[in-house]
Amino acid sequence: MRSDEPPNPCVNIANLEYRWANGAHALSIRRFSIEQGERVFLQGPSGSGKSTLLGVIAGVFAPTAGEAMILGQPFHKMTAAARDRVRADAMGVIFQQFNLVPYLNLIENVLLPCRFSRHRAARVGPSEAERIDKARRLLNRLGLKEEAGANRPAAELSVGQQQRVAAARALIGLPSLIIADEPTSALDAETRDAFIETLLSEAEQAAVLFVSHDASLSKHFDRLVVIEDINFTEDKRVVSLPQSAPAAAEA
Amino acid sequence: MNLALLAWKSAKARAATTVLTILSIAISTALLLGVEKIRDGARSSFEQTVSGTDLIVGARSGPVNLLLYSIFRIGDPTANVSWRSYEAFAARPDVAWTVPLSLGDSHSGFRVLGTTTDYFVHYRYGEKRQLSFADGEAFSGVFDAVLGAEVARELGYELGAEFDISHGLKSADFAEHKNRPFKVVGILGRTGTPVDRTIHVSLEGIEAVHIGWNNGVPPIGRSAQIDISDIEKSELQPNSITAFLVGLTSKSAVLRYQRDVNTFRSEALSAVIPGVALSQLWRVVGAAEQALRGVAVFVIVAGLTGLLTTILTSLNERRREIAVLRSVGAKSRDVFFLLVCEATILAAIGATIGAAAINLGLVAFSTQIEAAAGFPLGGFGLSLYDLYIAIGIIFIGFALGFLPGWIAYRQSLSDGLTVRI
Repeated sequence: MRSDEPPNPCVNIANLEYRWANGAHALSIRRFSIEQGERVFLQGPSGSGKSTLLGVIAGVFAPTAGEAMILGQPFHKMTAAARDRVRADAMGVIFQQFNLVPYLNLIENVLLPCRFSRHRAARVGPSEAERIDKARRLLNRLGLKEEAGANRPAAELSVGQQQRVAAARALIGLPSLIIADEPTSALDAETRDAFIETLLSEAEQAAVLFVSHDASLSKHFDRLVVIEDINFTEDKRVVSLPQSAPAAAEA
Repeated sequence: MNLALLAWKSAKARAATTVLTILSIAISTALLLGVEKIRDGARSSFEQTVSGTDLIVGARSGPVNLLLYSIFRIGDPTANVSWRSYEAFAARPDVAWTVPLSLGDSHSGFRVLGTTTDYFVHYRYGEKRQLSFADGEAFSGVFDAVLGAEVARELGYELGAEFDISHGLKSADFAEHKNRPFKVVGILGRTGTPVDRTIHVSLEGIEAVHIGWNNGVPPIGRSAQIDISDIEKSELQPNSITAFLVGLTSKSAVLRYQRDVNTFRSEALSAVIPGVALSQLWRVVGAAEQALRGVAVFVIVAGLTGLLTTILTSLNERRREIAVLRSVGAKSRDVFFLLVCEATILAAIGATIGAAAINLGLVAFSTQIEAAAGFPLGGFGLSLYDLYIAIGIIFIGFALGFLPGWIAYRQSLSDGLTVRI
């Protein structure tokens, strides 16, 4: 399916503005794009608008102005429900922590996107039994063989294990874009690199947008983007730009 | 369907509060339905108590009082009807039948009714149903007695059983007619009316136990020595009765007959139409029942408020859960309906348990309830009304779910994918 498509960028943002309801100016991005299958490392301190950008790319926030073509869809023109559908169909999201729904077991957590997207469910497997089998095999590959077998709630896992379950959920059903927001910040240094390696190898052809403040992790990725280099918002309530020339000069 | 399952699993994960919430809704549902059921039971029992009787005649009093003592065997008459007046009104050409009733004695807390065998022919209840004999036959001798079904069951009397009756209502009353043994010759089938709790004897039987009595004082001296065998030979024509039932040859005669009784010069009498008196009585009982119903409605409000509190309290700890659901593709709408589903499910389970519990409970304890109420209650069992109430409670639960649903919806919009707690 993907090979037949024209080589549109996976994410293509132009002249994007985002303001919060209170008027705070969070994003002002002239250009930002991610090619299909590209692995991008987005670096920046907290409060620099990273999470807001991820929200726009994931379709949770609608741009105030400008264009956001995500997976070939004009998110800036679409309804919230339509953007939600794209996210369910073709994206995987990993948070910093607390990724799992505590009352569901591991398999149920991994298969959550299938509850919200029939296309995604169909890509995982035609029957519930096959989908469960697929989820179990994916968890096995991520080193959660025993945990996947036991039918225990997700809340009993260690943080590292929870992050791997979240990765499995993001990866299930061949998404086109995986968004990871500081997924390793709760992990120690050793498991951090292993986690990133596993995530990138399991992601296959999917594009990955990986956010972290820790620049040392950028070595795993195709490209490093520093948020201050693309986000030219003037609002210091949201973004602190120590020596970002254009914004500082105008202010 | 998916959302309902998620909502259920989420509620199940908070087992303690969920169970308590369901319990409070179940209890309030059971209370409301119970009040309604007892009310309905009482009402249908009232309405079914007497039918086919055109008029009830007794000493002058209000219709409710007359109805209460003559039919429901509750309370006491203000005065009696003289035998002469009874005969005068029974002999009129527009009269099809009359049944005299004489009350005032009891056995083991059950009222004793002196009457004639016409009672078993003309007294009707429900849809003009005649009394039937489960065992034995109508009384013929002076000391023969016919028991209501409940009397026989509770006292364990069978045909041939002998007993005394006492003056007044309490069995421990000092004034027992010790030397006058009655014998059971018949047991009536169950009717669901006060007849079940009545002991029927002949008017002569009532007269016989009172020979030698004077103004409610037991016989003393020589008159206490009268033998049963002597009594049966004596003239036992009563001087007065408590009330009598009248069946007329045509319905058009009812109002005229009633007017004639009410304006009867030689004795102060009242004639009431049973249907009119029944609805008046119902208005009296209805006031208390309205208050009870009001209380039950407030308990429902309390139960549903508890439901709302539980869900609202859980919202903050569920912000992360909701952000996760959003990240895997849940729409803000889905978040809204997730909470509405939860409220609806809890209300539905509570209402169902409550409705089931009250119905099972009433069936299981109907005997005790009827005994405590003093009159039999109508048919229990799931009714359309239960269904409406249950659906009403579920609907209110559903509607209440909009508040937490809306709050969560707003939160999910502003939180996006990140929740900072």
